[in-house]
Amino acid sequence: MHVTHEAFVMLDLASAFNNDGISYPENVADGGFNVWGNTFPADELPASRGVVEVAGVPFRFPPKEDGQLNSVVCRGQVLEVPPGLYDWIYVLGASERRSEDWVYLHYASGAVDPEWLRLSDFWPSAPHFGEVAAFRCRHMHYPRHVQADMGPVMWRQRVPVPRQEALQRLRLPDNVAIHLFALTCARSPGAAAERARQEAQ
Amino acid sequence: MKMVLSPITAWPHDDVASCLMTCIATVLARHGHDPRLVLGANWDFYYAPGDFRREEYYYPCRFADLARCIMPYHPLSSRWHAPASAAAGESEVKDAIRRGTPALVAVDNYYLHFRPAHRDVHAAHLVVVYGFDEEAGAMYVLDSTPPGYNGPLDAGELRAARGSGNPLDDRDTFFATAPVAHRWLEIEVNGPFPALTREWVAGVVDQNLRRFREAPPGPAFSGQDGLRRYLDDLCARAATESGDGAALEELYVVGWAVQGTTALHAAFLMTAGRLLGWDRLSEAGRRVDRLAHHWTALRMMGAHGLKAPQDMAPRLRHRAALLLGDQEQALLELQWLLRRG
Repeated sequence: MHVTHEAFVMLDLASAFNNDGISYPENVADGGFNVWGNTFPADELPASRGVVEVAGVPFRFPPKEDGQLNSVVCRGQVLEVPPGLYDWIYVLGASERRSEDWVYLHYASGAVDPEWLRLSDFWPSAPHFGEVAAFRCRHMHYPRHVQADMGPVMWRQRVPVPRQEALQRLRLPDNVAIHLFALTCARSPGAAAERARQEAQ
Repeated sequence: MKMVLSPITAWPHDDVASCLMTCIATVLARHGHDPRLVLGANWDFYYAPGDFRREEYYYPCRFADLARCIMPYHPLSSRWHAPASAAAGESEVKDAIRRGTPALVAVDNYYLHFRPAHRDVHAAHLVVVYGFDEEAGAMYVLDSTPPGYNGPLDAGELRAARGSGNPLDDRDTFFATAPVAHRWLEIEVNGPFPALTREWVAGVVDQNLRRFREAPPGPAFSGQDGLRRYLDDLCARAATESGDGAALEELYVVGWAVQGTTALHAAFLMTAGRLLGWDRLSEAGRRVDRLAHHWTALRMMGAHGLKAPQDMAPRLRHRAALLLGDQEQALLELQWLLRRG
């Protein structure tokens, strides 16, 4: 179930999760963010299923428990969005090596626009696309050990929603390098008021 | 005797550039050059069928001289050394350091305590050795790849890493099986570098474009048409593989060299554009950066598709088509840039 906030809609990605990219130090073999089985350290990330605010934007953090799926590996899936006027789609995610690809935004009018989704590498690195580092961890989990001096990064990125029309759904790219942990749509209150005013005239 | 070369600086981690690039960058920085403007000037595609080796520092070469392949616009040369023994390998590296030359030394991550793969996974990697302390029994090592290392290392540990047979490893099939064999790479700077001017950059771009458009005769895949044929061939092999993933392993390794070259060329165009006040050059660089990101998708599809290459083949073919289309546009943009300035 999507959670609605005054200015934001936190999407429920549970049915879209197809990968486990987070593990606890007691069981580092749980899941695998990348093909080598590296994972984010659960004990350095926000509470499982809790709401966490990153640079002013709330996100519903995914489950972290062993065996739980908690991220979307992009394979061209469609994500439904509560129809509404939005300015941005905020993302918590990371890429296996930096990547960028199109997300197709489908509007209630039938219009479709491609917009860029850009995410930097999850290895400790600078934000290639100017993202905010949402969580810069101190440890990387390997399938057989915890690496103390090398922390993965989860980024906060955003995708613009330029049309001042109701957004209905979005299609993710077919790009297995890109992983999404949470999505939040930021409402466009000014646009909503203006559209209501124009329709009343 | 103790001798440690200075200054030696780590190249900031670029997630799509290999250890070969970061090691060369350290050598260039030691000579006072911006690595992006030297390593990134060349943009090329070349691959001779069957050439690839399972090493993180693999680079497909048109010429015997690696430096000439990677940095053809600068007076640099290189030589791979293949010492017959561990003692000879250590002695050669110390001699290079005595001459003031850092040595780019091949290692197996399995034996190095600072690599995450220590005592876990075999993989052929490259580090800079820039000093030694015979009394302490240490060699000075710089590794710019995260988590990174810079300082003295037990000489015996380095010897073990250099002498590894790098055996087959079921947890990293990309960079295992190529024996390390004490090899090391020497880069020589043979003269002053060209000044960064609009004219010089235009000449570099023009030569890169000619190589992309004029494929030489022979079996090698070269230029834009060679890239198309290589990706066609690779996708066809993936589509008919029974499941050993050989084509996709090759894609991951060969693709890293191509991706690194592409990303560094994007950095070259954008850096030169900024320094020269040439915005259109920076804009063309951003188009090239997009191609490096296509390579991320391609390589990761390869890595994730190892167990079911036939299933991945159609998606690979689609991504390859997108890459080729965008690359054609980037080439046209650069051609237009040369005409318009």
